[in-house]
Amino acid sequence: MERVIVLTSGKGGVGKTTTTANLAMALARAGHKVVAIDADIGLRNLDVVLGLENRIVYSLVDVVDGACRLKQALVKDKRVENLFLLPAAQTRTKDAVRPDQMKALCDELRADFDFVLVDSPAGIEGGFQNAASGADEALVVTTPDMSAVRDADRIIGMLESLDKHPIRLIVNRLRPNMVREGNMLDVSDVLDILAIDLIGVVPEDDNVVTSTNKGEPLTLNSISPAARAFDNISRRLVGEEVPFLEVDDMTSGGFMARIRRALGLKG
Amino acid sequence: MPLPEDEIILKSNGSDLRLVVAEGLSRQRVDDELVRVAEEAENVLKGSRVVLDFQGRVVDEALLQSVLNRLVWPTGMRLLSWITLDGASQNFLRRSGFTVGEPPTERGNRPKACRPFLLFRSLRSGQRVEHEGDVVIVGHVNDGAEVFALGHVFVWGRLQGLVHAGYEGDDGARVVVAHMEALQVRIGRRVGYMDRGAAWWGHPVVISVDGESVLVDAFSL
Repeated sequence: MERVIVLTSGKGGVGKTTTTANLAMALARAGHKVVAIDADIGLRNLDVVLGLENRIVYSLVDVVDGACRLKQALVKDKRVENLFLLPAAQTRTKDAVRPDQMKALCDELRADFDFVLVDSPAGIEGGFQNAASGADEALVVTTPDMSAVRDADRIIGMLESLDKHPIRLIVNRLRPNMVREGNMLDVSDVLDILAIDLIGVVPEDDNVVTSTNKGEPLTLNSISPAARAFDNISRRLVGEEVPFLEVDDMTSGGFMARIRRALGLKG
Repeated sequence: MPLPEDEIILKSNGSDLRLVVAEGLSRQRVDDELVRVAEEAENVLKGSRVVLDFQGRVVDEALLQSVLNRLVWPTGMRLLSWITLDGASQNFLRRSGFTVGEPPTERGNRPKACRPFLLFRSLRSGQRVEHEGDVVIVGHVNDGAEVFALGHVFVWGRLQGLVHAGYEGDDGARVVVAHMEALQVRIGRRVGYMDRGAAWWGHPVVISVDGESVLVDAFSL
């Protein structure tokens, strides 16, 4: 069943693009045919995070303008079968595409892909409206801080109004130590405010920075805590029952300690 | 009794009619339903005073045109006001020259003639209730949501957003909250700044104006 999912947040810098790249990679590795659309026209990033920036010829705007065919603009990942990118244009602005054009584009992609993941720009204006217009369902990404949660709440209200269903939540960059010390919102605090279903919690992980700079999403080959969390989200997306990581498992120390214990090693 | 979540419902509201467009209805189906209602209820709507209630739905230019083309003009109804909880939509409708919010009753334009506005849902950031009377919200008012009432405001949930009771200067208005977590409350011409460290933070409170000050009293039943 083909699904078009928009990843959005309201606030910038909470990890939408990283999440899109990692989920696209995880789903493709699991055998699903996936296209990730960078809908952040004028400020494209998804190509860099996926490591595909030097292979872009055409962009989403070229497709909409009729300057190329859709298949010409799709960039195929060489590392993983079934993963494609539809990049944004860097030299245009968000009003280069209309919601009805975006919807037609997504509908065309449905015919060829199991998953169409749309990476939305920050904000609630035209760029967000474009990104959401072709999607059936939504993943809202937030970090556990009040400003991001308030913006997520605003976006959820707009997604509800746009009839997206289901709308599910990813809490990104959780810092377990700070939660334990009471210095960061807990996941339950965030859920209490936003009142939508949780699909995943991703811990803060230095490996994300490294992977972004290398253009290798963590779900390509890493076993870091964030990689496991993204992988779990991708499995929940396809309907698998996957237990949520405990806060203690969300640090490299906790995870490695469990492996050591499992292998009968001390420390 | 809860309303169906995927239909347009026409209700009698005393001398007026109220047409409720359920939030669960897809945008495409809204257009279809508007045509259906216009055809089936044309005799009822013709000349009637009608309030259009879009609940939390965004009312943009396309929807406005659709409603006018498919419902308002073909039926000859008298459009009293538009209701939507979306703050940006309220501003858009006002800029377009329409009345927004609950209309006053036929007994006159006095605020006291207004029925209380009852809302059985939470208000998310960016959503706004504005009413010329008392407002009762059975749900939360999240940070970034706003409630403006000419009369009192009751929040049967958590208040984190902004409430302004008695917004035309009535210092006698009160705000009653089941779970108080808002940093500011306005009553009449006064603004009260709240203290997170207060004993009543997170508890039921009654907020009123006492002289020059905004007073917060904890209460229990």
